[in-house]
Amino acid sequence: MATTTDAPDDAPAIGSRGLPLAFRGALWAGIGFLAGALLTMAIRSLIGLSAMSLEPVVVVGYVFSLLAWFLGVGAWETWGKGWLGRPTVAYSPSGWRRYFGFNMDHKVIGIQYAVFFILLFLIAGLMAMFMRAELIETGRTIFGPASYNRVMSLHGIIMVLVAVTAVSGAFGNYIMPLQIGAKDMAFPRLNALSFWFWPPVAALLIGSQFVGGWDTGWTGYVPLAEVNRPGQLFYALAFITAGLSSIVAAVNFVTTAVKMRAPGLTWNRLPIFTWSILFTAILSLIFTQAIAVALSMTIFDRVAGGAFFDPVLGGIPVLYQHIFWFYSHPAVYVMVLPSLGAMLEILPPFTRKPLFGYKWAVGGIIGISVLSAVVWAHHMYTVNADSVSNIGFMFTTEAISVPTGLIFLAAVGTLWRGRLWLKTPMLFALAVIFNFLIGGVTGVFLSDVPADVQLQDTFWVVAHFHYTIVGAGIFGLFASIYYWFPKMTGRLLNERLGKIHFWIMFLGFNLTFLPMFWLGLNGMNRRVADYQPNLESVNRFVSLAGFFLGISFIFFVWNAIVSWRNGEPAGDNPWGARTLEWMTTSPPPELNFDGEPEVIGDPYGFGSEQPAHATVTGGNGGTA
Amino acid sequence: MTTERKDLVSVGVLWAVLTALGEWAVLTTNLAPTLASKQGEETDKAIELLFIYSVPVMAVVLAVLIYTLVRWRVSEPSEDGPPIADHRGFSRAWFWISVALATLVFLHPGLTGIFAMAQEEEIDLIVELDGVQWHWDVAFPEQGVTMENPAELVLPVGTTIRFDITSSDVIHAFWVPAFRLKQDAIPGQMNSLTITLLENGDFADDDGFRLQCAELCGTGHARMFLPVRVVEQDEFDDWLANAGGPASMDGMDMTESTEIDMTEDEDMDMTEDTQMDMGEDGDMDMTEDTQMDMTEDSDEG
Repeated sequence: MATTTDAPDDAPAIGSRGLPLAFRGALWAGIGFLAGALLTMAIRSLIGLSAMSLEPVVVVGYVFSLLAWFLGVGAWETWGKGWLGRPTVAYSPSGWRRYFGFNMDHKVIGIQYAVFFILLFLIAGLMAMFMRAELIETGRTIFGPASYNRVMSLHGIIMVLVAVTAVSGAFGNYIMPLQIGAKDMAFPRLNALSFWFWPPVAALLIGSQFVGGWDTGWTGYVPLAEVNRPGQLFYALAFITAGLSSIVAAVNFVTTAVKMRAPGLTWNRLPIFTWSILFTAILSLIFTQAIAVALSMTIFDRVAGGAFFDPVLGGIPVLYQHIFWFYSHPAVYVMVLPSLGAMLEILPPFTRKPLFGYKWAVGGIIGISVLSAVVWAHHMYTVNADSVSNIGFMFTTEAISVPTGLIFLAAVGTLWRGRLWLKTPMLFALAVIFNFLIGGVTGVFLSDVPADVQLQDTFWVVAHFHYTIVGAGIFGLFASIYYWFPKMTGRLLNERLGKIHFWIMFLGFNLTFLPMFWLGLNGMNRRVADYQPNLESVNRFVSLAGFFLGISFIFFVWNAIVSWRNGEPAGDNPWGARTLEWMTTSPPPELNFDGEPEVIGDPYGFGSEQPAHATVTGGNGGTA
Repeated sequence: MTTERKDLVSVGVLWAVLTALGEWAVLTTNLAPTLASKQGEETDKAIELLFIYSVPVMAVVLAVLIYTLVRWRVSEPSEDGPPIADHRGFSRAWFWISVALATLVFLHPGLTGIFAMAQEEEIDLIVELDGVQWHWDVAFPEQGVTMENPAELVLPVGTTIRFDITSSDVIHAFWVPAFRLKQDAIPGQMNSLTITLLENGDFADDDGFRLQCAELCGTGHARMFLPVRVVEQDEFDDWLANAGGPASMDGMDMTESTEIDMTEDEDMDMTEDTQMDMGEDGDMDMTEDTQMDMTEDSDEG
């Protein structure tokens, strides 16, 4: 099979000398923006409008700059030239440079995703620290309500994007092809494209703050989003761009999982993490378009005189919410499914037992995915309190607890009578079970219409979704990092620092978010810079616990940097796991396996006389 | 008794203990704030019932987590565990019990609660509420009284009130925590909510009595609340007779700024300074020029 490019081996490579290509991309993006902006201004004056109007200029300029960015970062030489019938060249620098251009190796892309999203996570986490500082007492503490709303909105959207992307972007890319014995993803160029969408997203979100930011939260409800400052437009463009990345990545994941499996890797033998990535990608592929629709309509209304959502001109504000949640509810499963898959992947080697109820767990993943399509309006019970459709959405939402229960069945069954080996990845996996239990059960309260009319838009909701998205999603991200870091870097993360990180994060997280359920029940509505005085003592406690939670990541960053450079060498298979990613070197060679992998058995056949999951034959000496 | 059986019995006992402790905690603690409405009783019943259901479910997972951590923890795995890949009976039972529980939750408190809350009541009073960034306009159409940004909302106890809720600009939401119910206020749409008031109450003593905007509506969202007082009928009549026009109180006077153009920063400054009372800082100014200088901003304040 071809490597990552069709270029002949002796073709001139790019990106090996001088400034990294990302700088050229930024320059080209700037030029592209100017070109688009000037074109818009010229057309506007030709048709008799005032030339300078910020939002139309920004929209067209951005589209031009996005294209120019891709070409500049390396897509021109590695891809674009081919469309014109000219020979393409390879992008294959070594060392740190390989991460700063249009690299098509899934292992490089996985690390690009991991580092980029951990940085975003830390930035948005810092926003949360500022928010909790403001809420440490009533009245004004560090900034007023306008700044609070902006910081809250930025925290929200960045964290949502991190949660949607981090695990599947980093480990779906790096690990999934290894787990199925593939040499790369099905579409390496699309893979590189999906990553390089992200720097523009970050640039837009940071740039939005220079034009006043926006204050609608991550949901961008109209009409508020149509009367807000231009920062709102940047939010919409950023979210659409992120969605494009998700769709491009999803096409690639689905194709790879379906078409690139090693011989013998039947659906019955597919590792559970790959199952979760496959269904995450299917959800992204089907539903992400809806968010582009909702936000494009907002942009039309703002920029081009549309009236989709303006009630004065016959538009319907509630329509936005339907389209928005048609994407955004499946999106929460995009956030947690890869982490649940990772948790189930980690339990067998750390209990030395097969994954319990493999088929039930796969059924759970599929069931959650299917049902997620028909629950969106449970976010909207209070839009029209006597709507009959609330009954239907209450039913489908509560039905989701059944496939979700199957994930717990697999986890509990695997733990039972296992040999619990409490390394850091296992601690994080156990925390996923614990946190997701609380997140799931408190979600049932919100699915119940009579209870939801009190709890909707309160801190109960804040606590609930942090228990699912952070408690399961982000704890699952760290479980994945501690589990697969040795494969990606060849070195183990320090166990002592890992445990310190875990315990501070686990305790800090629960002390922060558990009291929020009480706050919600007692009348604290969400997204507020201020609250009633009798809630002050609990809020102070929550803020202090939140700072404690924040401290844990210092240990993680320290650990990651130190261990990447000087950590204990990991060997091929430090956890004694059976899946294919552990049957190659750490890190793996360019084509992943030194030989041809063939799957011959169960991925989780611990404790039995079963044959290995796979063999790798034909290489120089073979592997374990 | 085999060890496997012993383990099962032990974890069962642990489950029963955890469940008993949990149910005891749920039944003896009252987490709910003051309740003043009849329809809200359904909400409180639903929340309590869901707590009662949750305890044994959570106890299953917690019991296994705790028991396995104590019983089968190893420092280094010297051998594999037993190769239990599935247990037909257990998995099926788990599946069908979760189906039964989901159905139960849907039927009760779900459906029963919805029907109980939707029960027709004879309407004694109609109150029109209009959300405006960032206050509530109130009207009593039957009495011909209109109040622009009143200082408080007084309501008669023992009556059934229909609130007709809408918005003049962006989406707001009606929520009085002591009444429990919530209803979005949507421009171009009129939503009604019927509430029967059973208890007296006053925001001065209990902040559950406030009409709080519960849907993010911009800068003033957090402080967009109207104190509520539930009083005897004759006291309400007096209040209504005296309160014909807009009242104003302690910096809540917003009558000048109902026509805010959100895109104009100068207007925003004005509103924040006059209404928000959260600092005389001109916090909004910084949005125009540079950016997220939150630290700098905090130094000012």
